[in-house]
Amino acid sequence: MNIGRPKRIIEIAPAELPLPDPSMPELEPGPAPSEPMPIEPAHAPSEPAEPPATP
Amino acid sequence: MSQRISLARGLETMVSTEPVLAWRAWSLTGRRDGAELLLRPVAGRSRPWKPMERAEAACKHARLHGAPNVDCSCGLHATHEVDTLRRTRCPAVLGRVALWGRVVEHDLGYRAQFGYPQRVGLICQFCFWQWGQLGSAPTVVGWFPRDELVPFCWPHLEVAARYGMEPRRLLPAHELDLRLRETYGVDALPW
Repeated sequence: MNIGRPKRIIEIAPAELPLPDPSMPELEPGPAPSEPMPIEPAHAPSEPAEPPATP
Repeated sequence: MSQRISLARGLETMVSTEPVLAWRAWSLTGRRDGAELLLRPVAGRSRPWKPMERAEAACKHARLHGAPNVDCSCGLHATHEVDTLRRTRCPAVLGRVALWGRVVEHDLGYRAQFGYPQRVGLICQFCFWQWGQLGSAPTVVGWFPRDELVPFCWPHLEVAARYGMEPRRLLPAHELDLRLRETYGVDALPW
């Protein structure tokens, strides 16, 4: 991927690392997730792809 | 023999305590039941981004310099604008990523020493190529050999199948999207 020419160098030492907090309740290990239900492609619509409506 | 002049000469250097936020795309691997999801760089054989750990840039010229080096292309890549990523090869996940450490800012994005995703969402790569972020939400995720996971909308799944790209198994995209966010402890990408 071409991101162009370098413009400047930033040395960033964050006061707090932008990593998730493992002590947060929703991240506590719970029971193993159930296996997702496989999908049968037979239900697929046959219309061709259309672009999304532009706002 | 010509002597190469480093691009770092003359570049402004600044110091900050705030991580940079930018756009990035990943490929995705996981088991056939959708377990053990892992974000991977879309290009090359670079290391995966492990859940709950910062990703750290590495360079094949590591003995010569650390990553990112101004005169190299190494580092964790991300872009200012999401549309720049539409040229990415085979993206499965789009997201906002925090970057820190040594960060080289470019015209269109960044190369960083450290990074971690902040928001992620599955995308149908074919919709994304054509129309960008809006309208690229997938319906299913195809599981392929070597644990490659590829999200599709229904119409593009049919197109892919016509060209011989048939997944061994289909999984519901909304369940894998949720599982991916739980795995990495991050929020959903606002569409």
